[in-house]
Amino acid sequence: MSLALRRRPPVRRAAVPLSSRSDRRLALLLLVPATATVLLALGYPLVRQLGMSFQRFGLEQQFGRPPEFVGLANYQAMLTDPTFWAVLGRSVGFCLLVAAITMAVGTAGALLLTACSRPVAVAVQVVMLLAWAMPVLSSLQVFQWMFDSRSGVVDHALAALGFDQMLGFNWFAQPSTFFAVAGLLVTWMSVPLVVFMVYAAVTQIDTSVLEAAALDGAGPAQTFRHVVAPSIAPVLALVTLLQIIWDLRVFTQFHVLQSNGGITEQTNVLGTFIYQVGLAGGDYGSASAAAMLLLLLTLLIAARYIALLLKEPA
Amino acid sequence: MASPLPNPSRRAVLGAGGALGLAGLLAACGGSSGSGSSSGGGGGASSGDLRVWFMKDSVSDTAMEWLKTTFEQQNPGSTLTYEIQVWDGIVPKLQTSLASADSTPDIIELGNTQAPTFCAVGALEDLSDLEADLGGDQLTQSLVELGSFEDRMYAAPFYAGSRIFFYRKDMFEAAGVAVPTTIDELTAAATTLQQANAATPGFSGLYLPGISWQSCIAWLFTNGALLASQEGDTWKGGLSTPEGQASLAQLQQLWKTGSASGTVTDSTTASQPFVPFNTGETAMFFGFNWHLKSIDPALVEAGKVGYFGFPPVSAGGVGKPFAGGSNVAISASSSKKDLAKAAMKLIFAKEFQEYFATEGGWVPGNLQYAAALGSDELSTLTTEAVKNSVGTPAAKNWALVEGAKTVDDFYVAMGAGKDPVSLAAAADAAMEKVLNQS
Repeated sequence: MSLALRRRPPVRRAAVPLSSRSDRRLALLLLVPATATVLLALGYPLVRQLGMSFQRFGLEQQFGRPPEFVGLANYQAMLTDPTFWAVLGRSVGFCLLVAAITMAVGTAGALLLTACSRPVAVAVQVVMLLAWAMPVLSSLQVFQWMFDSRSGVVDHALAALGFDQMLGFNWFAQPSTFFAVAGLLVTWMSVPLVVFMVYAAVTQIDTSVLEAAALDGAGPAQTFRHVVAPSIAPVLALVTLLQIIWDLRVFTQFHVLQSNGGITEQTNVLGTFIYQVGLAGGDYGSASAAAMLLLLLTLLIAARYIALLLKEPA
Repeated sequence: MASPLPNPSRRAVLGAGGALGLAGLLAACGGSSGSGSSSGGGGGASSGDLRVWFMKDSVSDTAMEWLKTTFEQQNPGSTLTYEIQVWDGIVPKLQTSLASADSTPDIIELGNTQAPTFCAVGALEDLSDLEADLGGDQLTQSLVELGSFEDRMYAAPFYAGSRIFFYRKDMFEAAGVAVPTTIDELTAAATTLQQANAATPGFSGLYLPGISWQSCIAWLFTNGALLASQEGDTWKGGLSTPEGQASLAQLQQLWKTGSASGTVTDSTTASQPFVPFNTGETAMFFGFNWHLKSIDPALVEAGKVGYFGFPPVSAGGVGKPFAGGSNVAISASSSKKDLAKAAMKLIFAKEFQEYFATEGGWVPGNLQYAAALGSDELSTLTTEAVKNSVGTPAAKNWALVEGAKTVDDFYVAMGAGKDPVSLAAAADAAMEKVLNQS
């Protein structure tokens, strides 16, 4: 935040006559509530989690017994556990695939919106906003009903189309179809935000540039590749990164769908694995270590973006 | 490029991303627990709002209303609020809420299989001094054992129940099937019924979802195996024992020819076995006596519904279903322990205990009041089932095995027809790892 202060554009500094010391003090004072909130709300749990990852912290400790410092033992146990690596591979694969599909569908949707007449574009955006604003548990319930093996509409529709063996098909009993349904749900809930952000960026593009491209004989594909995509690159990069982070730490969808499947172990992703080890398994120390590893992974993915943010000139 | 996105907007985007990204990063490290503040002292406020957590299908509305009204009459100025919890995911929920004085309910119901864990870690108030007031020797002793740690009682017996079979008399008659008296006869009966009703899509001779592990372990227990048993100081899984393997072979044979429901994996669907029974999609299900009130009254009135207990392996033996039931306890971090103890005495009063039998269909924790269950066929079978029932290991860490869903996953795999030998070895190893960790 002090970075932002230092980078205040010189134009504004000249425009506002200032007694620079008191102005600066006021600015710092105004920053205090926000900083304190962030530190309390996010800093405390993070510090505590870091501490717990170096402790043997089980159920007894949860109920008051003092924990024992064990150094890196939790990390060592986690990194030598083949289950952890299997879960990590599953999570990374899932998040990359789903983020890619989300971006492709979302960007395509945004471009389609620009080609629609205004009333249609508004109507589509309203519908998307509703889908996006729907609480995740409600969406989950709808998906559970849709894919229910006894009375779900999907099985019946597929059977009506001639796929007789799909009647009574249990989507949640094999990892492959489980991940397909979970991926569909996650994609469905994330596409609207991508559409909004990309659409907003695309409509900012100077129409004269697009006209010039058209006059030069560029087709739609060329226009997108050479004009639109470079113009909205920062937005695309940002949204892709956020999608990857969000899809990597996905929890609720998997946790709820697991109660339909009975294949918990084979469908654990990092979020549910940490929950399983920590909350269900009562091993808070190991779970904290796994959570720190997830944080590290997220930071690695986001590193380039953070570097970009810090270097960005005023 | 003539900067179609001017710099300020580009920066704004990056800035917004920074904020969202930071939130995302930090939220990535969820799972931090509340601090382990466990107040040692008892006592507390003399009036206030007492929060009570009971599980779904445990306590009838009539009993709950009686408890609330009586408690509020006897303790002027205090109120009693009850919340109904669901079984799925209750272990993690209790772990986090019981630990802090702000979030803890004052009185909680614990599944009997989960009670040993919570007794051992100091999450519950010692009730030993109260034991005589609650019923003393009349309390169900198997539940007292599960609710005790190092000879102190922390969780009192709430109620017990065991499953029995419901069957369609008309379907049995039409298929020429008699009530089975051994496990093999049960499989044969289910097979004949399933063939006789092949015209009904998805018909199961016996409705037995793979995810219903608490039903499936009746086969394990009746064959003489346990989920895990203690040898000296170490726990050893029982699924790989010859008896365990015999029970799995029987189950897989049943799912192959006498039940199409082994692949049912949704826990909510599985908890309502009366649904396919009512719709004529099965001839039998394994359920609790109180499921009777969910059965289509037309079937009951027409005399089409019959009952029988879990059959033995061979004639002369006994069928051993899973010992269902609950304990009830006071949270150690409760700030209203005196009020909670007053409410606890009401829970063990004659009225409330008898409601278990008359309204709920459970065997009350204080056996002195079990006679209220009645002497009809269903009640007699249930009482018999409870008497022969076997529980999950009374191990400190058993709740963690349940939390990890090891047994759930295992029986789902069995229902899907997977290999019983290698999977039993893996499940045994997973249970042993958790049970033997200190």
